[in-house]
Amino acid sequence: MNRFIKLVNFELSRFMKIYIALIVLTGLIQLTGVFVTANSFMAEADRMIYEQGMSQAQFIEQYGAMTFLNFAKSLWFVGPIAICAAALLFYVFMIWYRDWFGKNTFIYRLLMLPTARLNVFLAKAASIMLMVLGLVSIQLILLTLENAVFKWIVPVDLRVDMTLGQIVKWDYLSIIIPQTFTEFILYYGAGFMFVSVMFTALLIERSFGWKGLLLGAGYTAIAALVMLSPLLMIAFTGQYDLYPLETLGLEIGLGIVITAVSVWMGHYLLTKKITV
Amino acid sequence: MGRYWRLIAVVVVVVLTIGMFYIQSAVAANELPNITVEKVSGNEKELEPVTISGSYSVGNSSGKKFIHGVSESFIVDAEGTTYSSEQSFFERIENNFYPQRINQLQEEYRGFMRGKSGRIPSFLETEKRIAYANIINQTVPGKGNIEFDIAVLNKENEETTSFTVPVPNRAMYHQVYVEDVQITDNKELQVITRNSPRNGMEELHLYRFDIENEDIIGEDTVVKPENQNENMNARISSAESNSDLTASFDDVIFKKTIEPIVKRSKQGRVTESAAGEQEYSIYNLETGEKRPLELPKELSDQEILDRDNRSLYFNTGQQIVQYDLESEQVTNQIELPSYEEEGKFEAMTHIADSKVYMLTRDQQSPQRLIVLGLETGDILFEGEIKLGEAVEKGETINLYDLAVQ
Amino acid sequence: MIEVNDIKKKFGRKKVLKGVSFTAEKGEITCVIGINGVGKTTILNAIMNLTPINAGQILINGETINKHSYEKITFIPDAIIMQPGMTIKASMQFMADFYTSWNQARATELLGFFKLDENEKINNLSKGNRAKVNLLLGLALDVDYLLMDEPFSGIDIFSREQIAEVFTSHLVEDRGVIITTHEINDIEHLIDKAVLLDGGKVLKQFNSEEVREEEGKSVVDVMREVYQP
Repeated sequence: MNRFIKLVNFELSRFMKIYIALIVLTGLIQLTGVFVTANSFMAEADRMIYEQGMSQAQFIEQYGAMTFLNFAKSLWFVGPIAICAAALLFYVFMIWYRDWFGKNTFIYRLLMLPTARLNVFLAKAASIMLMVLGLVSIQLILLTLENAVFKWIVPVDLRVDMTLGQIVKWDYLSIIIPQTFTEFILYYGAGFMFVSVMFTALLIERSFGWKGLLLGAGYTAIAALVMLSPLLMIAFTGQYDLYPLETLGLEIGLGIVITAVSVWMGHYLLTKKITV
Repeated sequence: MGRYWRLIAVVVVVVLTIGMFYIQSAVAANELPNITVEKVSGNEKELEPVTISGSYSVGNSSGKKFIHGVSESFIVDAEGTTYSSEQSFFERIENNFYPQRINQLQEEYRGFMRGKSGRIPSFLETEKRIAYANIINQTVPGKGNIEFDIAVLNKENEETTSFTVPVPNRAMYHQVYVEDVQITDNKELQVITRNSPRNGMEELHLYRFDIENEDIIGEDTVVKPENQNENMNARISSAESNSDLTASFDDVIFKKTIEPIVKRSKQGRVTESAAGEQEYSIYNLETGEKRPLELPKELSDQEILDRDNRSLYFNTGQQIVQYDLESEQVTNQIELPSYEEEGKFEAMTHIADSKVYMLTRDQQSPQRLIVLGLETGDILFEGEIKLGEAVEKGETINLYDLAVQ
Repeated sequence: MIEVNDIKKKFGRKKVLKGVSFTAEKGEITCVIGINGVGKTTILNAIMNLTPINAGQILINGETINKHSYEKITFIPDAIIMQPGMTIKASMQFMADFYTSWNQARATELLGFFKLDENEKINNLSKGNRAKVNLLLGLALDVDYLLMDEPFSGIDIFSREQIAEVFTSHLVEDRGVIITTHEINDIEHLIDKAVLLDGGKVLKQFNSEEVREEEGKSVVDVMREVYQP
């Protein structure tokens, strides 16, 4: 096995305990949520139908049938996703800083590995991407499971069924799991760009101390300005000459350039400027 | 290998799950029900130019405690039903950004249309030319130097004339919008705008441009509300063709509505007004002559449904009335069909090619599409919108637009 | 041969190294001596390309350092450089995974020599034992050069003796070693070459054997002359 793959595996192992904890937490909270929301709906239905003497049809007329989105829009579902997102965002930074801080300075070891230092950069970025995609996949599996549990609790007359495809079309879920594979590639490509920009900003900070902190923030700001340049063009001149598809092409091009520059700078900093 | 189980596990889960999801969703898109116009009577050929847009939803009716749903937009045309999810990402970006008419112009005149606004009233298409007028610099913060951005494409020699000219007395105006663009026979470009002065009511202006000399040559205030006061609000709008806002006309017809003010915001903006009186006027572009339209009583408080160079069309609810601008007479009236179960037929109505196209508004059932002969009032086609075999229960369709090519 | 040629290093405005030059040969133990804060660790970091230098050049067998060099030269810093929570066994596995120069037989031998339990977590070890693990992970590589930063500081007497013993054994034998220290006593008899550092410069470098034979002086004697004239 080459050292890059070994490094990715190693980076995954280092986060595996927390990662599995995140998955278990998500599963537990969301499944509990399905039970709670479905049961409270059933309780209301029972109360109306058996105690108030409403017919089933009247109940649906007045309250509406339940869909999976009643659960998916609740904090039970959204909360764990937010926690996972925050944890991974935090880990984008910690995946580096944990090597510098604390009494065990693992960065010595990483920098002294007999492999290009860029591999360390890329392995960390690949691990982050894999962990994000892993959580997305787990969420897809959980959704299927939760949809089945929902159908099992709420009888067919009181619910409206939705397919997995219809569920993920809803609101922010469609950002995590985009409608088409093209968008999937574009969104997660942008995600990789974000990670590489953050890594480079962080390495600038590690290389130049407190001055580096400003430089790193500056680099992030420049990357953001470049990506937003078409928008800024409209805002400041009121004139914009590109068609929508051309703008998309431009943005993809800019994104690739920013990613390439970030990775190259990461390589440069790691070989020429970094200090333990 | 055993030591790499974590990496292998994550990669396998990601590839399988996400792969399966996208393969499955590619298949599932075709499972959405087909939406068809089922013939009740008439000739199905009449459907060919018609495009119906709407949305299909599952479990989506608002106002109920437990309902949440999702919906998806679709179009039905001669080729069948197309759901938005059946379009590729690139198609969606290309088609959904601008109105259809603008897309059409962009496809045909890609170079000329580059960098131009997406507002349909800014364009005029005649046999020989495409003309464009827009007000620039008004959305740019800190800049009040609003200007006309004018461009004319000669279709025959593919030459473009373009120039910018400051809006006369521009310091007076808070905002200026292009309402219509016209060209007279002697190559004079005329731009009708709705101007909001910094103090006072909206006015309708007409600016004349000499295309060859690339300059502004005249300005005319078409309407300026005189009887405005503390308690009255005046609204002005130009009545263009509803079927084609880029069409060419010899005159401009506009409506002035005077409404008693009910409520103002703290900044003095009118937030609510009662129903008021409206009057139509016609302004001849060649001569600059303006006169009120003396409409028969039953039409004077109606909205103009559509127009062409000779006539105005009104929909009174029971009839489509054709009013001739030359003779100032009602020249034709056709009766609209009514249906016993729902009474009056509320519909989106379009006039095109001497036919009246009507599509049921909202969620009335059954949802109908009717094509009438404009002269005769004969029903050329009548059909009901039908949802194909249901995949889920609780599904509804909502129709929101009708277009005729 | 490791050649350090006129290297300069600033931290902010403070000039720590003002042109340091020395060489270290394979098969010799070179000792960089100086008080704390004089830049000894910085020199070792610079040799390993763990910190950039402002001027000068460092060559290892005539080449500047590159990714292949790390199979031939290793650094044992004053801190544990493994993941917290790893066992000794896992650490050795990690090294074996990444270094082709890892010598498992030597690692096992060292484990016995230091009397370490491979299932023990590094975090739970005493400072002395941690230093031994550090040494183990470095010595078990078949490298030409070994850099050690203050291997004896803050360690109990028995561990020191054990570590010192290593230097005279076949485990070090024909390798080149650069060792830094601020107290020479424990290893005076081991070193072949001394580099005396102060004020960011090399005050004197000499072969301890030659000085002993020709001038009849010990390393400490020379240090006295140099530091307290």
